[in-house]
Amino acid sequence: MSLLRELPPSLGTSTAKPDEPQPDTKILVAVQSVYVDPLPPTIRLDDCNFSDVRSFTCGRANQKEERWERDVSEWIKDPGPSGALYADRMGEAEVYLYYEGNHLIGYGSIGVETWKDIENGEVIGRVSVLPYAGIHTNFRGQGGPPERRYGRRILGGLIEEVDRRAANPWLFLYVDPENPARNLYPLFGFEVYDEWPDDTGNGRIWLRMRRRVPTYRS
Amino acid sequence: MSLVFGGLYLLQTVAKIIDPLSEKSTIKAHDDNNRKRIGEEISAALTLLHLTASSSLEVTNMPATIPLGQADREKIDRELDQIRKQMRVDESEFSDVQAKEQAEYRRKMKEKAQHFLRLFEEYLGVYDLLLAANKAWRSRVFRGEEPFDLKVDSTLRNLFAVWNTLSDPMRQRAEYHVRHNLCDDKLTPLVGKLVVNSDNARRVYLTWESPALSSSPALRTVKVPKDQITKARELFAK
Repeated sequence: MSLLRELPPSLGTSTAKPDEPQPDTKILVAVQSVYVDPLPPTIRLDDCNFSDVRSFTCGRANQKEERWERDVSEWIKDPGPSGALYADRMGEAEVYLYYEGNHLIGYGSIGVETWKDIENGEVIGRVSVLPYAGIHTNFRGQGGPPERRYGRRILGGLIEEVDRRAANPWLFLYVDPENPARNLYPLFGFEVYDEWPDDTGNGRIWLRMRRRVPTYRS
Repeated sequence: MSLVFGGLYLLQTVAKIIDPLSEKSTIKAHDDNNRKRIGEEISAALTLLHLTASSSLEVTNMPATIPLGQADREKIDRELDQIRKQMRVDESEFSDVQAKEQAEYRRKMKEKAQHFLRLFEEYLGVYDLLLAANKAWRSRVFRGEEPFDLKVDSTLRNLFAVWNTLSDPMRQRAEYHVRHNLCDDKLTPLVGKLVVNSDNARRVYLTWESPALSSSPALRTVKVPKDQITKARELFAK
């Protein structure tokens, strides 16, 4: 539950007196406010289960997918060299699928990003990233109260996995500025780092959000 | 009488042995002195038998009986005994030569096998290099560190095909060395590796897919512009 130590104090509402030990109470309250029962990333995307994601959508039911929703669904469905399957196969990312019974409820991914000086190619550092994560249309908003919803539990499981590995000092997310989920991420300890223009020249701007990996030791 | 015909047969056989045109002559030809000496002994034996060298070859025309005295017979026996002994010595020497030649042949084959073993290891190493180069290039393209280049793409693909084409003759040669136990079992596991690598190379070649830039911005290398270097360094300094 390293995540909880990173939460802003405002999220924890302790009623204990100043002299009494408080951390446990604060943590408990914080857990209940963000997520419970994180889903650990265990089932990797591969050639065998790729058919499960071929028709993946993450937009609202009976509605056209938004741009940021298309990003998420097209990446996981792409069998080509720029998609999720290839990224996993080449060791560029780890893509995990989550199931409820036989039904795919969503996916998540973990990767590493290198920062280089554009002038001389020198490596400045590396950060962990969550390239994309999404909940299948049929399971959006499902699971119970907010802290039990699949989206939060998947995200919580991914963050805890990154904390457990403690491979890099930061965890980054690239979020479409219009994606309402940008308001959810601060609950998980993310903050806006900057706005980053997509380097493919497509004119898109990404909101880069960062979260310190508390377990990381250089 | 049987002794005479036996002797004649023996002489013919010896003649055949020393005949440079006979199939075994190559072995005896190594020792000219022996050949000369045996030739002389044959002539002597033929003289004893009252036969000429030419008539000795006409075995079918030989008279059924040859009048010989006791002394002659004893002399013939002695001479034939000597010839038999000499032949045993020659055979023994021949075996030694043969053994030495075989040992030398085996030594040379082992030398060749060792050379082949090194070549084989290098050949397997080339595949590992090829795999690493392919992976590194794909990774650079995927992360946007290098633009996709069709020339590099086709070169790499062809290299896998060329490597795979050579792998079958290499395997056959390796299996020959393994069969003849010339590499002290060092080749056996390498042959297994070759078979696996060959299958992989064929699969890579046949299912070749050119790399492309990652569609997820989070998996591309961040090229930090000059005006943001300080901020980026601070990020990692904390």
